[in-house]
Amino acid sequence: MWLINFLPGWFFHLMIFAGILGYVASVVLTFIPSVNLYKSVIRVFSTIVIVVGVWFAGVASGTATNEDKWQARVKEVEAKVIKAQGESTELNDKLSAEQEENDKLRNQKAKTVTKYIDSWITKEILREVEGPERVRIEQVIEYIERCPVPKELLDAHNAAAKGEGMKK
Amino acid sequence: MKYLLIALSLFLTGCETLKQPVPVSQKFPEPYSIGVKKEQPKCPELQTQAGDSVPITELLKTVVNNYTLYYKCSDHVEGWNKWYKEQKQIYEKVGK
Repeated sequence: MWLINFLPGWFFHLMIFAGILGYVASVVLTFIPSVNLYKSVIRVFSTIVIVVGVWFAGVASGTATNEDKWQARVKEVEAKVIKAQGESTELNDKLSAEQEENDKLRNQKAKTVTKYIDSWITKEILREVEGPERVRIEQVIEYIERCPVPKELLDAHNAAAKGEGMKK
Repeated sequence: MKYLLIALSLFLTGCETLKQPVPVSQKFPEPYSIGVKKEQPKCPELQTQAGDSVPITELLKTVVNNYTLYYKCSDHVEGWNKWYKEQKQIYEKVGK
């Protein structure tokens, strides 16, 4: 519709107005001989001008409305995308901090267990215990020192750690 | 009647253009990083126990280490699941 893009919107309204004016003139100004002579032609021509004017005015306003709606929708989605990008970055920062905190906690907990195991190796655990319980702990320490884990069992552990089965 | 139907279908096509997706590109969200690392860590391999005969405490330490590796990896998988779920929600909000 190059005509709609080419001509301004008010032009079609002017066409309607001119058409109505022409039609009214063909009815009212019949006392003028020249108008009276061509009144039928003026009416037909005015009617055509009114119809064409109404048609183009309608199409032009429709196109403008659609375009406006479309532009508004684009702007709305663009704003939503910018907001989503902000939320996405915020979420990443939150998860990043959460994961870092989790890693720290896991390491701290593992350290406490390793420290407890070390207290059996260094016999530090004996410092805190007295009486019959101390005898039992001494027996455990003796067991730890005297009974190393044999290679066969270490192989079983290593196979499981590697995700392999046992080779017969 | 035939021309009326054709004209009507043209008007309906005009209305349909408003329902088309808006050509605004949305960038895929960047994955979150842990610390200074930009790429996501892989789950590390579990540690094996070296030696032919070792005290049970040494083996126990290796087991504790492996459990820690497992839990850290499990946390990362959970983090990824959370990341996906929440990023999807954010992404879907734009289309509504």
